[in-house]
Amino acid sequence: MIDARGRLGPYLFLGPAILYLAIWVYYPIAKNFYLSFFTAGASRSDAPQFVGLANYQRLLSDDLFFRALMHNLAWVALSIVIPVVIGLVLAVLLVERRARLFYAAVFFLPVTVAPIMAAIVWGWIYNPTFGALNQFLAVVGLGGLAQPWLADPATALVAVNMIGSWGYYGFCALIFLAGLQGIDPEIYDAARIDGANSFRRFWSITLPLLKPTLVFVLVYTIIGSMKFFDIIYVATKGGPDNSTQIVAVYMFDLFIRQGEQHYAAAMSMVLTAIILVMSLLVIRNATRRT
Amino acid sequence: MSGPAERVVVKGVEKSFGRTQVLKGVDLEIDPREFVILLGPSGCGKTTLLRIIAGLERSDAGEIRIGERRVDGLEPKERDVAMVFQSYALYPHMNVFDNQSFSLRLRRMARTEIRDRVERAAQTLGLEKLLDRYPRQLSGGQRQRVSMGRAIVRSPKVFLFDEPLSNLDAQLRVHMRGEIKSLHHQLGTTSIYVTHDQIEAMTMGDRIVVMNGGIIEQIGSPLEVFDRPKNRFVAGFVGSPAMNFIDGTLVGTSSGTAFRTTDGRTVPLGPSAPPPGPAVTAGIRPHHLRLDPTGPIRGAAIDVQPTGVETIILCRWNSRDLLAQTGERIRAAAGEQLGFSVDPANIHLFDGTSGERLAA
Amino acid sequence: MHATFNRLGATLGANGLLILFVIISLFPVYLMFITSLKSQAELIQNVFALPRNPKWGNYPLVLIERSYYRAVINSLMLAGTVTIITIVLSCLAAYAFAVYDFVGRQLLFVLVLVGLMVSEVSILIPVYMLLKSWNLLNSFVGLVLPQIALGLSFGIFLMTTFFLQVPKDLVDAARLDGCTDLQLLMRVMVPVSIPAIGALAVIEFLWTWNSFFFPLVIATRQDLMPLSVAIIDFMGRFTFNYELVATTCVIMFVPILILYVLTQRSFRRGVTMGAVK
Repeated sequence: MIDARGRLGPYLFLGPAILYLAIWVYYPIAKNFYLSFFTAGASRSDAPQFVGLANYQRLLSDDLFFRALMHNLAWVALSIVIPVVIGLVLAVLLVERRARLFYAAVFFLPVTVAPIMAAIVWGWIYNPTFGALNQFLAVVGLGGLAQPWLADPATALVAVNMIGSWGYYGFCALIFLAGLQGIDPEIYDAARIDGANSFRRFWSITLPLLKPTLVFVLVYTIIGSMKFFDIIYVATKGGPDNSTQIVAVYMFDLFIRQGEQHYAAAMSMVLTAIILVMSLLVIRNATRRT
Repeated sequence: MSGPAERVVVKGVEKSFGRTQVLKGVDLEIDPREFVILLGPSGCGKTTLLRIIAGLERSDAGEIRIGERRVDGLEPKERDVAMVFQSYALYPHMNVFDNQSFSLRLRRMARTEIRDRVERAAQTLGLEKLLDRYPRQLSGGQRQRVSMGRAIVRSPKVFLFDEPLSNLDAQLRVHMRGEIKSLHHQLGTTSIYVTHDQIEAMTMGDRIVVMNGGIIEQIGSPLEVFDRPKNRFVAGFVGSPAMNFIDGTLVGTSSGTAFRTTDGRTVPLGPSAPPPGPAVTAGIRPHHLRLDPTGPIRGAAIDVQPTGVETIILCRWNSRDLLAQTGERIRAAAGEQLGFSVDPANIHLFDGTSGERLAA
Repeated sequence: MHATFNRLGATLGANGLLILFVIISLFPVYLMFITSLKSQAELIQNVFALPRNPKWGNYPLVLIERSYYRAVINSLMLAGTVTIITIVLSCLAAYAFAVYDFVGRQLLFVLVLVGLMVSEVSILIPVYMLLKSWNLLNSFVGLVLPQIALGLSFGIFLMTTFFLQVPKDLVDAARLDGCTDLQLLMRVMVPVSIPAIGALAVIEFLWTWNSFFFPLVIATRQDLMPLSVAIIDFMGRFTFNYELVATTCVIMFVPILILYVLTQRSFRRGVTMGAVK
């Protein structure tokens, strides 16, 4: 590395990117924070009024916001339980296979499908009249289970999460596969000689050595689940009866449809803070134990 | 193809990385056309010194001159030096010709001149048939040659070598040693060569600069450094297998000064020995120890290792290892007491505290 | 005997699971293709099988008569422009981070990493206001500018990790050979890092091509809409023309599919390089 004390070089190269981020990321965040302390004037021409923490107080008494936030948290939990675990299992099954890259490529295909497209296609699969899922259930003799998956508040959140999971397990599998391939096979040979069975080897060797990868996937899953938007916006718009309402969709609605930009700004501030805190907690917990 | 030859002067150079000082004031003068070796254990600062001369690192204090020009503060490219790296550092996306001509193209040299120079270098190094190969298609030795070719096409004022042979296997290393040496004879360019390899240092350099802990311990011709090490460090570092050290004092006897070991044995010293005094360390190279049942130096054999050419005898004496090297083929059982004698002229004496060589 | 039986069961189970997920992965894509070729009536009677009378006419209908070729061009221009600018800015910044040690290096790198955690949701409102005040809503430039911000931190991070893997000796050799900063970047670092740049390019292209949130807000004029927004707009007007919606989806997916098949390795590298810090 070149020591550049008192030289301009590195700053010239960094300048454009940092300036860019300043305008389109750092400034907006600060502005968002600023906006959240105001409220719109009585009429369009009036200047916004400073209201202190009023928007945040309103959030505290906004039941729909809490419901949406709970749905986000449920989305995080579902995304960890379903696609992350599936991805891990698939990666473990694949790591010693010669065709692993082929399988990984197939599993990754859904990741390349735009979320809005996944929402549309799965909307058909879930369709009560011509949907593939109900037809399939009928064929295998489980017709009794058939229902309007996305239209029933009891099943909608899980059903819509399955769409997200479909586009995510392949991503997890690919990352875990890379992590697994980074583990020295001689360690497994040593464990085998020491008499560890396959479950033991997974538990005592694979998981601990995969920890950095796991942490990355967890943080990535949390961030992705908390800011989720596309699939729900297209598949359910938060309905039926707000059973799939999430913060991003609610905020979008407040901002675009209801023109509540100051309240929406406060909401997105809180969401950002929650994402940050959750991510840092995972990272800190992970690094403390090593 | 003879390049310009310049004097290189290093004066009072200091360098720290964070809180560790890696160079603590280094002075060095290298004559035009000289081939100088920087030798020392890892972490002694030899590579840092080389990189400071190249301009890849900035010194905290001191000055560097190449020829008449003061170069510290100049960019590497303004210093007109070329460097050969341990990893060869060939550009993987360029073929041999492009690798060698890259610096010339950057200077916008005329195309015919470039072709001419690369071809001459290729001829010198036997690379004519490899010019359109890529580095990944070359063997280690070929890559090494390309990286030297890249240095010589520029006809720089100084060549810098950073352990260029340590990635090669033993046989090729011997061969490349010879090649680099003959190349230097042909070109006569002032060269600075960093290594931790004894043999490279002894066989290639006009002078060896022994470094340790950020300072220069000794500068001298290879045999000077080997025969008259200035202090205990140089004595122990130069030469393989390493010199034996025995602690003791100098005492007066009827036949002049003698060396008395801590366990009470007396080894006679020559007439030029210093007067009796306090604690000293005697250094004896393994090949100077002669098997002699009546000799004053005695030890219990631990292991006898015949290498074919010679025999290495490892003994334990006074809770210290003692190594002897002899051309004879001998056998000894473990634990057997062996005696050695040594020609007084081959005993090096060092001050017991400072480690400096005592006049002898 | 018991052990072999167990092992056989495990192998069968493992293969079964893999095949199940191959089917799950491919079925929706398959469904999208066949739906685009079916008539309304066939859609309900015949869900799983290939269409009996493929209605290839749906494609020219959507592309030309309904002018969806324009959305294709918009998406190509958007994803292409965003990808190129992101790569240029990322390489420049990554060069400084990877090659130089300078005052504020750590701090600035952390600042860049913070950008990784920032989502489009948290900057939507100010970005919208900024675009509005600069008169860039419903403009190509207005679509491009904020979109770059979303991938730039990732790009800088990815290129920095890769540039740091370029052997230090190579950088030193280039300096001694007489490279200026820009020459070192353009003639050594970039050519040596082509695989990483390729990986970044395909990932960035995919993200932008599939992006929806910002375009939905910024492009409300039909002639500016990229495919993602155009499809939703189309769906809003022809909800029950499933085969035409499917056709637009296929039109949006095919370029990505081609890109994916052609640049397998780059995709893999891009996705896993970010994870393996």
